[in-house]
Amino acid sequence: MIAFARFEIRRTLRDSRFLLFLVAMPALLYLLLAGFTNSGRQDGLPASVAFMVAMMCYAAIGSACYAIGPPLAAERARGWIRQLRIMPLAGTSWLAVKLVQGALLILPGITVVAATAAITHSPDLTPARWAALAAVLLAGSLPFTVLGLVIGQALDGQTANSATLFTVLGLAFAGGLLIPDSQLPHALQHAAAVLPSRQLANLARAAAAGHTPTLAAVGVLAAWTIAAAGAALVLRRRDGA
Amino acid sequence: MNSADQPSPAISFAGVTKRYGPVLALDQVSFTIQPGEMVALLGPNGAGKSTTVDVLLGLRHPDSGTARVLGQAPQRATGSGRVGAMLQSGSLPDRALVSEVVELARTLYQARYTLASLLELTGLTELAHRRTDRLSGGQARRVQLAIALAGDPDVLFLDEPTTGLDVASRRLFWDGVRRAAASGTTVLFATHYLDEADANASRVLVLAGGHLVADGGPAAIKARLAGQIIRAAMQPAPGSDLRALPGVLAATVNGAEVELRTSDPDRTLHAMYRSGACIRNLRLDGASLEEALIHLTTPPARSTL
Repeated sequence: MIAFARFEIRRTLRDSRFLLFLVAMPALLYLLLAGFTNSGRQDGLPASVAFMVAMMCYAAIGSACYAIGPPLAAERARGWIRQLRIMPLAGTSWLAVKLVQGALLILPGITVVAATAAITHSPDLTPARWAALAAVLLAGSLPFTVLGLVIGQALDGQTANSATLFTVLGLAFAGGLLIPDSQLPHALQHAAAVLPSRQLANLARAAAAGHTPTLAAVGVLAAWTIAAAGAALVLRRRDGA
Repeated sequence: MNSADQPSPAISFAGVTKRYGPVLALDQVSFTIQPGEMVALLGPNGAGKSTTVDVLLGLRHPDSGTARVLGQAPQRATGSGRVGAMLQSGSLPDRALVSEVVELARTLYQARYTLASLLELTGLTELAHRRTDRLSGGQARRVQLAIALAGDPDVLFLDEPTTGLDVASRRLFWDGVRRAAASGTTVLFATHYLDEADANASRVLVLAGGHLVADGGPAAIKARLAGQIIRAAMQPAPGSDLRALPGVLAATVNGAEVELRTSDPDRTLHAMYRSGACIRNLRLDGASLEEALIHLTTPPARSTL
């Protein structure tokens, strides 16, 4: 299993253009958003910190979904996934490696957002809060990694790419990462509480503010992770998948 | 099927039926393969060869019937690492080196082989540091073979392993398989080349339209399947039976055009000329496997659908 994890991560790191794309988007969005609104407070945090946290969440969601979903669809099309399925690697081990891979691949994106914020706005966070924020994002990447797996397992090629884009943008918008919650339609503001993106943002803001995480947020993320992981494994075992 | 009274077969297929929607891919197919046998699964495209291999690997589930590999359900057998396979649609991951892919397979199968010996066995030593997306077809096939052989498997499945390879690559490929299988590995390979089945198998199963239509030694199968087609404009002597000519397996007369399928064109032609008939526009073609199978499969009544 460790050998498989090493193999998968080494392959991803070879794709430098892809990694560049993963880190550039949230960092640029941060500069765009925080550049204009340099003062005031939002969600109980200084605005620049709130934007940084939102963009780190966006980076985590996008990196996990994009690094996992479309490549899986492509590898299924190539036939590599079928070959892997008949090798002695249990479906659950494969899932575990993918979860680790998804978590590691958010690191470049969130690091670059944090570095950009540190250079431009020097956010005032204690090392403990930085660490808590990083821990929340790493653990919070899990539901998005498994969503990527479901997309990559269920859809093919171009459809998987489009579905990933749709999922990432939809979750980011409805989760209040790209525009503030208060500007979303009223009904959506309430309904979005069940979305993993909204709850990841809640947890990340709590970490940055030094608050304890709410059980509801952890519960929503765990429920998404378990449901999507189950779906991914069932889709993987499907006849002729 | 009396598979029960034989000592634990390596592969058994009992009454396996598999449908894809309205298409019947396998219809009540049964056979058993003993340990150490090298068996060809021969048939044209769409005969059910890949479905058979997929079912034996646990990638597809039969609608009815049972498949067993090493006495276990296929998925258990592959999970145990005692089964190696090259899939027809199988390919390699991109952005990886040959040595990395082979090393991964070696680790997953907990191989006895060292990386160097596995690369050597499959003729990949020179290519170890090449990226998988920069290999030729034959080279990629050999990497897939290395993956399939990594666990020194008891059972090896090869689904049309040499499709698209030139003669030299094909020979290299089969050399590797034979060396690896020398220790008593059971091999089942799908192919649509009669000569490949003849050269490499001790037994041939012929599939056509989802039915097992023949099962026997390669020589016997070849005699039934191979054959040449003689076509000519010919006025046969009245009352003469073309079918009675030596070597002729089947004859069709279409106006002045005669078509004879023969297992021995030399003797057939000799007899044709000796009969004194006027023969013009003579052509000789090898019968394709599809043509041969039509003759093999049409006489018996279609089984129950």
